[in-house]
Order: sequence, then C-alpha cells, then structure tokens
Amino acid sequence: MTGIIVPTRRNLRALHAGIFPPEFELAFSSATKRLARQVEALRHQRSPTSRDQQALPRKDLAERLFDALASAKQLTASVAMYLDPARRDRLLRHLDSLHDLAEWEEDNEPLQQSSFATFLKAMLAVNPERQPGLGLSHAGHLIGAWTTDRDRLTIEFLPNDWVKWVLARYNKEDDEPRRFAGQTPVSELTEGLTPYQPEYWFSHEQGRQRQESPR
Amino acid sequence: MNKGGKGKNLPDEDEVIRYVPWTRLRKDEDENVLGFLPHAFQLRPDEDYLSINWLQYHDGDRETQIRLSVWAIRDTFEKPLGAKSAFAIGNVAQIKKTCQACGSRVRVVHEPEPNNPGHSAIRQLPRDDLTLLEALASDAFTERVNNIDIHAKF
Repeated sequence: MTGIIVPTRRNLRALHAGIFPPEFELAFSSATKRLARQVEALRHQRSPTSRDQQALPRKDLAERLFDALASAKQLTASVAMYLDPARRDRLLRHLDSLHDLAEWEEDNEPLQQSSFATFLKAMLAVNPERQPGLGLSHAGHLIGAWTTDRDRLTIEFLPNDWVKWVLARYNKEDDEPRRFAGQTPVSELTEGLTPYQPEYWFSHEQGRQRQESPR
Repeated sequence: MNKGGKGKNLPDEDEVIRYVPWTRLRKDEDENVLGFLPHAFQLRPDEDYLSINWLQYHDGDRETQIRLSVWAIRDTFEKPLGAKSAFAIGNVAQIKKTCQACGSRVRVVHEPEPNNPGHSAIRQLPRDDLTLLEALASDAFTERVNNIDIHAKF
C-alpha cells in the first residue's frame, strides 16, 4: 500500500528531534531512524571531563588540548559507522592538526564539544562529497570552509545545534562578489543554503566545472 | 624614527600586517592554505580594536618593512609563533572601503606600544558581523606571508 504523508509542523518538529511520529514509521528505513536517534543523542552527551573542569583548578594548556581532542574523538567514534573510514581518518588528522601545541595561540579555547556535535550532525545531514577545510574560532567553535576558485562558503558550527554561515560568489558580469549570510538550526542548514546551490560547494564535479569554465 | 603618533590616522596608501594563527587560515580539504578565514579578523570579547602593525612605520624596501614588522610582532608573543601560521597584509584605504561597503566606518590609527612602536589598530570594527569579516578576509587583506618564510632575528 502506498500513500502520501502530509508534513505538519508537529511531525516535522518531532523528526528534527529524532522522534518518528506513527504516521512516519513506514516511510523511513530502520537505518535512517537509528541514525537520527544516534545523532540526537549527541545533543545530551557530556564530556567525561566536563564535570572535572568545573570542580578542579584550570588545567594546563596541553591537558586542555588533549581533553578536547579526546572528547571529539569519542563523539566521532559514536557515529563512526556512518562515516566513510577515509573521511573519518582525515577528520581526526585535521582535528589533531588544529590542536597542535606548537601552533596554538594563547588565550584561545580548544574545540568545544557542543560545537563539534553540531558539526557532526551537519556532516551527516548534508553528506558533502567535498570535505571542508577546518578552522577554529577564538571561542572554540569549529569552522568549515569550502572554496571554489574565488568563491567561498564558511560555516561556523555553534553550540546547541545552530550554524552561522556566510558565502561569497563572484558575479561573472561585473566580477564583484555577492555575499549572503544566515543563522539557522543545523536541521535547516540544507534548506537555508538551497537558494545558493549547495551542490556547487559540496560536489567535486560542480567545483571542477566552475574552475575550468572561462571567466 | 618619528612617524605617526598615538591615535593618528595611517595614510591611505600605506599597508598594515596582522598575525593569523594556523587555526584561522583558510584551507582546502587537504589542508592546503588558500587564504584567511573571516574569523582571522574577529575581535575577542575583551578587545576594543583589531591589532595590526603599520608596515611603513619601518624604513627600507617593502621586503625589509615586512621583515621588521614580523620581527616586531614575534617579539610581542611569549612563545615562538607556529611554523604554519602566517601574516595577512592589507592596504589601509581598501580596509576602510571594504568596511564602508558593509555599512561600517572604521578608523585605522597608530597605537604604538613600548615593545612594538609600529603597532596600530582598526577601531570601530563591528564585533560579530560575519559578512564584513568575510569581506575583509577576501577583499582587504589580499596578501599572505608565511611565518616560516621570514627568517629569525640574528
């Protein structure tokens, strides 16, 4: 039997929270439902060291970097089955590189676990073919950067499932950039980027075509 | 040397340089450095202005001015700057024009410090305007100098 499911505000809210309303039970595979619940579980996880950090004197820098990396790797492991091994290894390498003590600028915060959880949710939802270059804000928010020629998309992964993004695309006619920015829940990231052709940033093929086309 | 003066506007035709750590360099998925992230120009919560160094504070050719500025910036840090970090260079007029196009009138002024006399500041920079920071990163600070390419002071 087939039928049409009409999305309502209530059942969309439930889906964003990883809950499948009865009318949706048949529409999604068990794997999809399991993935949504697992990602949602990240929202409530606490770092094993977070309580210690509140109670104990401030740790030295090397320990704080180590703890931040350990927490990020633990979160990554919890969704590892949904990540291509090569991508997962690259991600972990990049996180190591961002927390290199020799490169670290004093007074910066290491990666915040809640920001990294938002990043993982975004990557699982968007599943970009092109992975981002990674950076960190002063506050320890992970930053993802996609660059095609001179065009740039930058996403800051905020705590509590929010993302802030800005993109610049150069107009072929006048060679001037057009800039757009937004701030949305991570569950609405794809929707927010839809007017700006997400595949242009996230697909290898689209990026290649742009780079090869005459300006 | 007796150039500028505290609070004086830097000449439009001059250039400024800013340290950018590895975490705020723009990279591709293979960690090749492409430029600067918008966050390289973001004020910290406790900062009133964006710290920069005035290249032309120093005499000599441009290469010398860059080298002397980098040495001065290095001297203000307690530990050596990372080998993968870099410096962003931008023209004063272009910085002001870029900010103005985003609705902000900034001042680029000399703010000498005892251990860094070429230190300067971008004042009245909005704290959290990601569009403006993106414009600074791509249109105003257009030149990158790698830290590793500037040799140490003898």
